Amino acid sequence: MISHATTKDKDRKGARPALAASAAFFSLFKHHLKLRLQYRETFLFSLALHPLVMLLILAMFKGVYRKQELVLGYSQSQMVWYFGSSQFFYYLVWNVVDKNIAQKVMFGGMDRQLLRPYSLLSWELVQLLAHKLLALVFEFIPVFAAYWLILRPDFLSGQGLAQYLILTALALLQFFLLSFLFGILAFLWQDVSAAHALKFIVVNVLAGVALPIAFFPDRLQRVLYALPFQYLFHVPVQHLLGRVDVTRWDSFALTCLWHCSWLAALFVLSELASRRTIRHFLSAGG
Amino acid sequence: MSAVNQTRRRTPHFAQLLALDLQMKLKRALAFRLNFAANLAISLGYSLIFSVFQFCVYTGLRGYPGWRADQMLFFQAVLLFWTGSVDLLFGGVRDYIDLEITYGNFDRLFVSPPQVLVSLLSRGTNVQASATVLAGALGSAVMLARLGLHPTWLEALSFAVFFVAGLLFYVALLVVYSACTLFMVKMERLREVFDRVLFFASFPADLYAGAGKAVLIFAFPLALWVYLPVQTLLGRLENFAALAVGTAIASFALALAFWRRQERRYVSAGG
Repeated sequence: MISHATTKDKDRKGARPALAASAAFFSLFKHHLKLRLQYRETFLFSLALHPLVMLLILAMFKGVYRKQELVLGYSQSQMVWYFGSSQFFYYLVWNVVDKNIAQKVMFGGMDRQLLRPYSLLSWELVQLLAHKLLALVFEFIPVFAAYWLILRPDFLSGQGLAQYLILTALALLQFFLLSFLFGILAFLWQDVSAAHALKFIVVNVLAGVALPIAFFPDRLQRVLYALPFQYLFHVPVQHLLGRVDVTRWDSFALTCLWHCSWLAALFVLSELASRRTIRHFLSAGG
Repeated sequence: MSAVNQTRRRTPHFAQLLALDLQMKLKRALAFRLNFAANLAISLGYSLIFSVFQFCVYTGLRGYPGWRADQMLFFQAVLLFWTGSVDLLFGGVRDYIDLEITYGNFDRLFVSPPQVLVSLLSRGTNVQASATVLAGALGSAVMLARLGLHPTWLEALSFAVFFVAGLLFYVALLVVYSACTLFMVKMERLREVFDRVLFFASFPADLYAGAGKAVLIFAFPLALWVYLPVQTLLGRLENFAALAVGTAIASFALALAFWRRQERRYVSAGG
């Protein structure tokens, strides 16, 4: 019989859960660092290709901005950086936690996972944080510098960048919880590739990764602004592009507060769903 | 008759292998019916939403040079048909090679009767994309009728030639991706770059400034996928557009040469 422990159960068992989690984090950080150094060709090749993508975006919008200075309130540099920044979303926020969980359920490995001294949620989160910290250093910073060389961001301020990074960290947690919620559905349905596909819609349409929300009709915009998904990409990138008053830290704090309340709701939902779905797991592949 | 000849005769063709893979994927999908139904709906919904997106961009940018709204809708329908077709035939190839290389199962392809590349390219069908193909075909037919277009045999043939050349160019990119996987093992970000590059084909080439349009038609012919087939049916094909077909064939030949080189250098121990 496999234990069906949730976060709270596991935390009660561990004498010092925070310490155990930090030890796991450093081990996983080292593990991911070694992986990255092992596969350095991929990393270097990828770094070389990203500027090409930015150049293509630039070529596209140079044509668009020939006859107009602003498109839906975006200057040329803001528009090019908006599309370029969608890559930062993949570096810093995007994850495949749902896929990882589903693969363990379908192809074996979940029983070992449940015997670890960490809950499924803690383990996946720690793993993700280690991965993303490396992505920040090895991918975000070099590509950001390369983009800067291609098109100087005349809109950028230190405050805007700091606020962008803080909001992106919260977005990382939000997207993690969302993926986790989708992933644990595998305990019920085994194959959850549909949920993975749904994530693309959430990201590209509701969060504005594919194109700025300003492009949508007014009614749809109102719906999108009422949903929490805009915090995944649209809200952070508005701070990066200087499209909000970044000197007003009080309104920034309010944005963070809203974001945190959505996070709390998502966390409660994940915990409840986790407790209910995990009971359905059988070690023999479903 | 020698045993070698008998083996050769029994080796299935690429099209047969594709059909077998589709059949197998369909059976697997039916084993997880709920997920399959949801996937079909999401796949179709996503493709339709993506087309709406493109239209939002069109209106947001106050139109593209030389494109009316109804012509753009036709472009979107062909785009839907194109993305569905490549997803149906080759949508899972990258996932397949990534998994096989990462977990050390790639060697199995060397002992199966078809050539490694044939096996690889025929095992990536995605049955969920069939809904998108149907929606794209239906949308294209409706828009052809609404635009009052009656393509001549020559235009229909040109459309087919550009479409097939576009497929060939797509396969060439897939072959390069797969060849890179043989020595890089973990592709991660390169997958995203691959997808981002494909994104640029979903806009008419007229949108790109300066040399951008020429690059997309002749040097790196992403325009073969949607733009040139649509321009053919609209009866306003660019001069020398046929050169793009030549580039696609040359790219495919180069990709094959690159694959053979990497295949020879491949060692079983993970690269």
